[in-house]
Amino acid sequence: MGIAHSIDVNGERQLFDNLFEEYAVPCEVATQCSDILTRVDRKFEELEQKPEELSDKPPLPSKTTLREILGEMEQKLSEIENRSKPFVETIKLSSSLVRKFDQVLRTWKIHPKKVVIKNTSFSEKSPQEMLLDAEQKLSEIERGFEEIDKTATRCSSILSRIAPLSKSLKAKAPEVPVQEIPFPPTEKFLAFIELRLLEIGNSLIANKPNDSLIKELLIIKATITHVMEQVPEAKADLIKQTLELRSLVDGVKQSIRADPELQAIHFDLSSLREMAREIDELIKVESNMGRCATTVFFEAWVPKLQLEKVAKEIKDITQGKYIIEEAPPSTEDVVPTVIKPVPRFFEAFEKLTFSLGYPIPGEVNPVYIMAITFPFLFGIMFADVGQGAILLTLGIILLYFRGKVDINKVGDILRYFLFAGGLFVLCGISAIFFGFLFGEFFGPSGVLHPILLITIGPFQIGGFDPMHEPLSMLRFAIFIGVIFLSLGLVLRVVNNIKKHRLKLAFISSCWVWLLLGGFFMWVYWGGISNITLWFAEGTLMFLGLIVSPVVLISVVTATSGTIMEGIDFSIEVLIESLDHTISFSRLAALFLTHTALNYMFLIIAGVENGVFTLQSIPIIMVGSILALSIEGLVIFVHCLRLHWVELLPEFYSGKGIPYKPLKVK
Amino acid sequence: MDPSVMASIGAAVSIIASAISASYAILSCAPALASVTSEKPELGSKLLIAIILGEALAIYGLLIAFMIISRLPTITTEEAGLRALLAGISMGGSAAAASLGISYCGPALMTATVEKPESYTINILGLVLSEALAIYGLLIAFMLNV
Repeated sequence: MGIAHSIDVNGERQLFDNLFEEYAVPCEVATQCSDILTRVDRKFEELEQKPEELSDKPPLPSKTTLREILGEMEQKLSEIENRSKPFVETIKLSSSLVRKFDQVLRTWKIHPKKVVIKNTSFSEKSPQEMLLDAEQKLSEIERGFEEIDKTATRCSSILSRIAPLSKSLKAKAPEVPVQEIPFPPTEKFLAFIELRLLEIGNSLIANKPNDSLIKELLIIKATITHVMEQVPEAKADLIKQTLELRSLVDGVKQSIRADPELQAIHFDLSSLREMAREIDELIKVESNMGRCATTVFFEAWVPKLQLEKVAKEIKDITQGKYIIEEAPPSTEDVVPTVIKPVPRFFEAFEKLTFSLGYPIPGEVNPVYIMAITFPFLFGIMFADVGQGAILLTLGIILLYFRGKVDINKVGDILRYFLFAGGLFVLCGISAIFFGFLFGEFFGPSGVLHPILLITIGPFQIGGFDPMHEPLSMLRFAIFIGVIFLSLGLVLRVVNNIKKHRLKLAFISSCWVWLLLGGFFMWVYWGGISNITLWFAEGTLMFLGLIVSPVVLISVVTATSGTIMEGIDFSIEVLIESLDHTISFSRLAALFLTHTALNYMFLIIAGVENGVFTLQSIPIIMVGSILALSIEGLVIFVHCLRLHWVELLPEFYSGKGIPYKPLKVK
Repeated sequence: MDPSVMASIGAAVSIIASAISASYAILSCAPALASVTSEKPELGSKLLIAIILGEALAIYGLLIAFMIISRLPTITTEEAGLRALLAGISMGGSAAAASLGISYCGPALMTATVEKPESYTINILGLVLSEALAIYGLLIAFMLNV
């Protein structure tokens, strides 16, 4: 239970006043900042331009407080607004004019986009005057068009009145001269004709028809018909004039856009926008800081190497009035990892690795390991000298363009390719290497003969044709699998040592011992079918290679405090070693798929004993495109899978958070 | 039965069953991917793996069928014909099994990844393990056919 006390604050108002003011600052600054942003955006809208993302951010004005910076920015903005005033008016005028043109054309049922007439004859007048001229001309044209319309209706009514008259006269139409009259005929002329017709009609009712009347009637008819004939032409002429004017206005608009002054304004506005955004970011950060009248409190992660520098900066800014408490991360903290930037050549590997997750601090960053293992596995599956060379060339071209092209201005797919330049180069080199080992040149064409690199026990590294000896290839794949798994376990040992978990490191190294030892036994005694020999003749070897690591693992697991963790780990490794080793047999399977695809095209093209005839080249090209696109994609995905599922999880947690420092220029 | 006819049936079974499996896997994963990318296009490249693994099934079937056909002149005995037939059946059957796995795990992976991108690495296991079934079938088919 508590009792509420009422406190009379009014007496102490003086004391609190300053405090309120201090608290009001961030709020005011925030509104000022967003105000500037809206003003900039409106200006962009008025100038009919799109804000541009600047590649290098403009530096903020060198003032100490946000308020002063914003003040300066505001001043600059109003200056820009003044500068842009004439442009705004012209642009407004021109767009309203274009709209008007479109409207007029629409009433004439003509699509303005249909006819494009290029007219770029600019006079020496200023754009503003030209636009005003165009507006005036447009209204003239409109008036003319209306007049023609009126004349046309009037003429047709006259013709309809002549028709019954000439019928009643039953007059044959002799050749009559057409009287040339200016087009469009004046109001007076038409009125005269109408009057005359009336008189003719009246006299026809009264008297019998005479020749002069008939002749006059025919002349009138011919003249009016002639006038009617002129109407469409005149209309077309007017429409053409209108379209020309419109394109002129468009041209004026373009020329305004290309004005260097306007571009300068655009640049200034863009940079102002960037600055305002940066300040917005700053305000957001500041709102996370605890603050009162004279003190700011905040916590932040700082890399160990830069601690002194940061402390010095804080000291300079605060003029010595500061307290820094340096605390190492506690066990509950999730520490962000400082990720070192990699060279551009390896950025594809960085992206592939970090798609799985970021490293936690103190872990081996597997980007460079991946840069070796990924092309290695890819090369085994994609082994082909010819297609590898294509891949290498493609990679070099991409690397060349990577430096030239702005990466943010290309399409999505092209961007992926540009990132992958280094990956293409390494994969191409690896594919060429393994192509020599297995004798592949656009498939098993017989141009190259397999080169035997080395023989380790039953494992041949190269020197056989995998199409005819798939079991050798399978053995080779399993061998690579064992090497990769051992590599993963060794890296796990390294990580455990780095994290000072010596017992787990010891267990891991025992597993490497067991894995390699078991593998050696298997190889030495010729497979699992001779398992009786393992115990009979190779007892000592069995004891040394299998029993002792198992005993050591059991003892260490049983005696350590983290017994569950050890058991978990052991079961995991046992299952993974078996499963993942078999999984590496996909190297053989995909190699054979790739070779078989190429072989198919070799047969279709009729290539025998390494002789590529001229007719076979288009077919081989189609085959290579298929192999590079579909097979390349499948092999790439399998490579990725071997890394993400088999290799990386052996030692890499991927649970880290990248360190993203606050960046203000 | 004539050995070469048996072998041809094996090739046909291999490619037909694999193609149907691939098609089933793709037809259940592609719509899921489409709906995912309409919400979050940046996940597209990551999740495309399901469709490519599905497509790979057809390539395995093609490979075995091709192997059988290229060896057709040498298949003269009853035993060799039977082996080729069984190779085709084992490839087709394991592709069908893998396709079932992919068509269930793929869409589930995609919907889960949209909600929680960090669960991707765990959930992809189901997909790749079911895809491994086809690889096992492919290996055995190879060995049968050699």
